[in-house]
Amino acid sequence: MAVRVRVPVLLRNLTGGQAEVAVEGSTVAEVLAALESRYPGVRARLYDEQGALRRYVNIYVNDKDIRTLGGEATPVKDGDELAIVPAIAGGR
Amino acid sequence: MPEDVQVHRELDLKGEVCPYTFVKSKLILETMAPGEVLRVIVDYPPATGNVPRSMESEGHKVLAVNPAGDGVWEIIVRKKD
Amino acid sequence: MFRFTEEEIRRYSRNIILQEVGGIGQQKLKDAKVLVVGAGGLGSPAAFYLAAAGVGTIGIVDDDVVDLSNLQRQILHRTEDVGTPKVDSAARALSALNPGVQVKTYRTRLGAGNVMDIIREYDVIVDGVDNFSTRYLLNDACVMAGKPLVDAGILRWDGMMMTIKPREGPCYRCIFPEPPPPGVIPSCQEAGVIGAIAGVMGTLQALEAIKLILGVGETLTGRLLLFDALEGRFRQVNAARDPNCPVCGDHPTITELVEYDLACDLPFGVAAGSAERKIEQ
Repeated sequence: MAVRVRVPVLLRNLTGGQAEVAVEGSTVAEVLAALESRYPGVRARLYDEQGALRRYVNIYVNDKDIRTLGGEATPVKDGDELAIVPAIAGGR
Repeated sequence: MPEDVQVHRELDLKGEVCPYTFVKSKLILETMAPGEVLRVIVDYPPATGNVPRSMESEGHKVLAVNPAGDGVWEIIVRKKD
Repeated sequence: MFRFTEEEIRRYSRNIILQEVGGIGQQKLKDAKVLVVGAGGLGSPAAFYLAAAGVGTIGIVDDDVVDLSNLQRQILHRTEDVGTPKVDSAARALSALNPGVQVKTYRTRLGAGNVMDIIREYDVIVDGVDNFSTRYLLNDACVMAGKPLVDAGILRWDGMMMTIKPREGPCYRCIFPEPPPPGVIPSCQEAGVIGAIAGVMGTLQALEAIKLILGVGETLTGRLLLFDALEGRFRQVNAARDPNCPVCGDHPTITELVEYDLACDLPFGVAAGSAERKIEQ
């Protein structure tokens, strides 16, 4: 079950510059774990010390916020797109 | 246009050019009640085509476009309901 | 209903021709008051297009002076304005484009002590700030005051934006409940930004404000618009109002304005304290 993961610029130094990678997993949690095992360091950017997803980085499956789905337990299937979107604040 | 159509407002736009012929007509029509009739006088030839076309694209009914002598035309428009 | 001068009819003709505008809509624009917070990358195009459209009153908030490095994207200002207050050059630029607009300038930094007073008379607020701290403050203030807020952010080649209609749709905190710790998300100063992305997003902000004023179309409420300029791709993700949101939720826990001490304008590599302070009004 290959899921396409959109990698934000903030994480691309960990994925060798790639903006999109394909990983296996049947839930969001599994996809993120697979991401970490292939690109170490990703987990620390996405999760805090208590093991919760950081609140300034959002995860979307097929453009839907996982918080409105099943959180990390949200199922994903082949061909789905998982986007990691951090808040950006530049304006001036 | 039938003889008994009542004109509620008349707008003299002699000397005006497109697109202001339509813009000014539209502004007056906006102040009128649905179903009321506006008579616009123009002496700019392209307006005789442009104004009716724009009016109809907005859903208004153009009742007539008639020469009114001396290079002048009248455009009769009924505001949509 | 409305009365326009010959000059206004000419100036706004392309607006008036639109079915969604007309004389009635143009009068709504003329009667509207929009506050643009930040006369910078986002604020510049936003303010320009609002003035061009005939928004009757535009407020500009910025305490900064023009720096040469601003001119790569802050198109309200000119080279000869370097060193002068941004609000002054903004007022000059907007008045030159449209003398019919009343420009009100606030040469100040938005804080918990002044934000409610400043936003009070405005119908729509446009967020062009450059840091998380003021962003959250503005969000909270607009939710508390019930003011629609058009929020956008940019970095490198990316932009994001949403339109906040308090309690009708999500606010900023519904999407991003807390700001990141300082230094985690870089500022434009550290990471860079391509100037034109500010143009794209700021112009979209003006469009959202115009739609709000006219009451037409669909605003980006309940949706977060993301733009990746390098890829040339827009995407929308859903953004739902969170009933547990600390500021706009059913049982708010944030009932006073909060100022995060995030000091985002520090040079790269310098960490700042992130103590949260509550400011007494």
